[in-house]
Amino acid sequence: MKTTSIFPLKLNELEFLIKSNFEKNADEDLLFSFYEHQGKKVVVFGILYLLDIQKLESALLAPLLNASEPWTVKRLKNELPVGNSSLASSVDIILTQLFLGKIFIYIEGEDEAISYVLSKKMQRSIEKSETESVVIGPQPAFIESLETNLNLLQNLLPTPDLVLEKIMVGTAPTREVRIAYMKSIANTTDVNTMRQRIQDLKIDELEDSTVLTQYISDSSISLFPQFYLTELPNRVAYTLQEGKIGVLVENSPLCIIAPSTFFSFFETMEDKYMRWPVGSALRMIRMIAAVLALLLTPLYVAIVTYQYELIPTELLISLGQSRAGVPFPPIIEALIIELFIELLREAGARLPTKVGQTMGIVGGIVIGQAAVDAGLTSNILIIVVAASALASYTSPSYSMGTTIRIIRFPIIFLASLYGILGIMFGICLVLIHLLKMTSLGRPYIAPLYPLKVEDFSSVFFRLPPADTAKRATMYQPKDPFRYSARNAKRKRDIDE
Amino acid sequence: MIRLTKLTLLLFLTLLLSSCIDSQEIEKIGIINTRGMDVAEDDRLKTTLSVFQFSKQSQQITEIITGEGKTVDGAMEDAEHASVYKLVPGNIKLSLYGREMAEQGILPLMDTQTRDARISDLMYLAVSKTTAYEILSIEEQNMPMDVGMFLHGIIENHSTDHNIPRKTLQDFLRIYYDIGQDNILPIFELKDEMPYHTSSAVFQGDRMIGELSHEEILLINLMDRVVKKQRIELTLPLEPFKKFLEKREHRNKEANFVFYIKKGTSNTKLLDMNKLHFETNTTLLLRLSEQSVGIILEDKKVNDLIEQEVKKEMEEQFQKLLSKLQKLEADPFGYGRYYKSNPKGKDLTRDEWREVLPNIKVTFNVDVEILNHGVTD
Repeated sequence: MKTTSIFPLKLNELEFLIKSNFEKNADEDLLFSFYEHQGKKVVVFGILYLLDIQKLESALLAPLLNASEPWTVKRLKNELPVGNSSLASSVDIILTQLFLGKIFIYIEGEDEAISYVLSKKMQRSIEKSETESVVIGPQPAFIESLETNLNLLQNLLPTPDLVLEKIMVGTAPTREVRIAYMKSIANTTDVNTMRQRIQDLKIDELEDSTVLTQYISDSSISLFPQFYLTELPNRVAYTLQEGKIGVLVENSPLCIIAPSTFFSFFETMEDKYMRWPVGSALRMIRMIAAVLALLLTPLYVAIVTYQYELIPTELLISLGQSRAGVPFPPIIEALIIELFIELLREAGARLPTKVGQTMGIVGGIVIGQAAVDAGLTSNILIIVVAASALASYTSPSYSMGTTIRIIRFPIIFLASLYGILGIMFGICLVLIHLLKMTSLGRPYIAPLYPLKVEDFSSVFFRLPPADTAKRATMYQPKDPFRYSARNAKRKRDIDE
Repeated sequence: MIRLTKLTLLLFLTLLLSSCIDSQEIEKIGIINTRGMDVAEDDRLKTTLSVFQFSKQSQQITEIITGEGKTVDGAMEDAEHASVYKLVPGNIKLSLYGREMAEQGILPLMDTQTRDARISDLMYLAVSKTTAYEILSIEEQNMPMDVGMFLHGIIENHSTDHNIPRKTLQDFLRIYYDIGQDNILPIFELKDEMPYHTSSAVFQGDRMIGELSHEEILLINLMDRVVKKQRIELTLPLEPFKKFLEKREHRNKEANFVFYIKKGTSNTKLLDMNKLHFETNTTLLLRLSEQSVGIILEDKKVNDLIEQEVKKEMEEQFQKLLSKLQKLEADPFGYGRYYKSNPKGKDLTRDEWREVLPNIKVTFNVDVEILNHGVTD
C-alpha cells in the first residue's frame, strides 16, 4: 500500500502521514512550513539538521514566494533555479529521500511532490597526512568524502584516460565504491577481477575500505596485508600510472591499491621525491629494518639459550654478567619486555596524543630502567627489544608493521625451543606462506618469485630518471613504456 | 580438516621434540676460553682451563680449573667436578701447550678438537716455555685482564708487526698434512709474573724440536707472505762507511741500523731437481729510521753502500737460519712444497723429505732498496 501514490492530499493530512512514520518525538526534527501563494496552499518540508538553511532561503523560498504567477509541479521543475529535482508520490520514496537531505515541495491538489537536493554534508577539511607522513613533497590526504577524494584524484590526473567506475555495494545502506584505473595502462584482467570481486559482494553494509580489503583479499586467513591502503592522493596517482588499480569507498579516507606486492609495502613516495641514490638507500634501510624487526629478539633468545658460540668474547662477558642476575629463562625474559613494549604502543595509540607522548616517555624510561635494576631482564635485551620495535615502525604501512611485530612471537617461541634451527624453521614457514600468496591473482613476492631481474630496479632501489622509461613488468601493464627511452637519453645542445 | 590435523600434529611434535635439545643458557654454563695442556705423572694429561662463570654475587668471572686424565676428554671430565656448572668447549680461543707436551707431540690432543663440531677451528695455538699451568694460573691481580684473553690479544694484535706466528688450529693442521712444510708456534714465558712472547717454537710434524728468535721468524715470514710495516734491526760493520762519517769520536766497530720494511716479498724456484738446488729472491723496500753512528746520508753513494751491506747481512742471515733448520730437520720455509710441486717430485713422502732436507742448497738473493731516510707517518 505504501508504494502506491498517496496524492492528492490536504496539506495537514500529508503532515500527519509523514510524521506518523517517525518514532517517539523524532518528528520534532521535521521542518513543515505552510505558505499561501497566489491562492494556492504550498508546503515545504524536510529534515532540519540535514538541510542547508541559508541555501534553502535564498535559492528556494525567495523565488517560490516572490513569483507572480501560481505554481504547478511542472513549473516548479522547470523554473526554480535549483538543480537535481525529482518527483515522488509514495511515502516510501519520500521517506528515503528525506534522509538523504532532500527538501520537498507539495502544492495542494497536485499528484506529485517535487524534491530538491539542498543537503549540507559535514566533513573535515583536507589535511596533512597523519598515518603516512611526508617530509618533503605534496602533503594532502584523502578525507571521508568520496566526492572530495574523486576531485583530488581527478585533479592530479586530468585526463579522460582515468576511468572511475562506479559500483554500488550493500543493501542497507548502499555505499558507492569507485574503481580507478588508467584505461591505456592497467591490465584488463586485473580490472575485471577487481570489478567481479566487488560486484559479487552480498553484504548489508560496507563500513570502510579497510573492511572491503578483508572481503576481497585473496587469502582470508593470512596475517599479511594483501592490498596497500594509502591516504595519499599522490601515491594513488603514481601507482595508477604504474598500471595498478585504486579502489575508493564512500566515507573512507583510505584508497585500496591492488595488486600490491610484499615489497611495495616498504616503498614511500619520498623515495621518489629524493634523489635516486638517497631514495634507494632509504628504501633498502627500510627493508633491512623489517628483517631486523623480525629477527633481533628471536636471535637473542636463541643465542642466549643455545648458541653461546656465536657471541664475541667481549660481549659474552657483559651479557653473561647481566644475565646472571635474571631469575627467568631467556624466553620469559624476552616475552616480558616484548609485552611491555606492546602495552606501551597500544596505550600510546589509544590515549589522546598529548597524554600518549608523556606515557611513552615515562613508561619507556621507567619500565626499561627499572626492569634492569630489578633484575627482571638483562640490559642487552632492552637494547635488542627497543631496536627491533624501532625497526618495525619504519615500515610506511602501519598494517605491515603490525604484521611483522605479530609474527615475531611464534618465531621467538621457536627460537626458545630449537635455537637458530627453530628460527630457520619459522622463517621457512613464513617464506612458504609468502610464496603461495597472491594479491589480486598476482604473485605476492614478485619480482623474487617469479624472478624478474629487470624489475629489481623499481622494487629494491631506484635508477636515474633517464633509465626509468620502462614500467615494472610484474604487473603486466598494457603499455610497458612510460616514455621513449631513447629520446630521454639523448642530450641536446643549447642551440639545437 | 586434514589440514587442521596436520597442523595440530606439527605443533604437537614441535613441542614434544623440543626436549631433545639441551638448553645452554649462558649463565648456567662454564664457558672455557683458554685450555692449557701439560704432561702429568704416569703418562697422564693435565688440563688447565680458564673458564667464564657468571654469578650475581661475584665480580670475578674467570676461574682456573684443572683436571687430570688419560685422555683430553677424561681430563675435561675430571675438571668438571671442580666446577659448579657444565663446562662447554664452544668458545675456546686459545690452546696453550706445555713445553714437555709440545715435545712429545700435540697431534693426539687435537683429535677431539677437529672432530667436535662445537669446537672452533679458529682457536690460536701457542706453547708455554715451562708448563701451561704455570702461565694460566698466575695471579689475576697483576694482569689487566684474564690471562687467556691477554695471550689471545697478543697473538691477535701483534702478529703482523711483531713477528708472532699466528696459527689457528686449522692452519696448523693444514701445514701438518701438507708435505714439505713445518709449523711454528709462539712461545710464552713468565717474566716478573707477566707472560711475554720471547721466542717461537719450530715443529717437526707435531713435535716441537727447537726455538727460533724474533729475527729468524721475520726471515720465515718474508718467505711466506708479503711483509709490511715491520721493523728490522741490523748490525753492520762500520768499516765500509768510514769515508762518510760525521766528525765525532767513533768507539764502536759496528753500526746499528733500524729499518722499516715498507714491503718485503720473496719468490722461490727449484733450479735443479737432482742437485736439490733452490733459489730464493727476496725484494726489500726499506726506510731507514735510525742509525747509531752518524753516517752522513746526503751522498747517493752512501745509500748504495748501505743497500749493499744490508744485502750481504741478510743473505748471511738466511744461510745461517737454513743451516740451523737443516740440523733440526725441520722446514718452516716450506722448500718441500716447491720440490713436491715439481712433476718429478710429486710422490714425495714426509720421511723422504726429512732425509733430503739436510742436503738441499739454496741461493739467497736479497734485493734491497732504501726509499728514504726518515719517518713521516
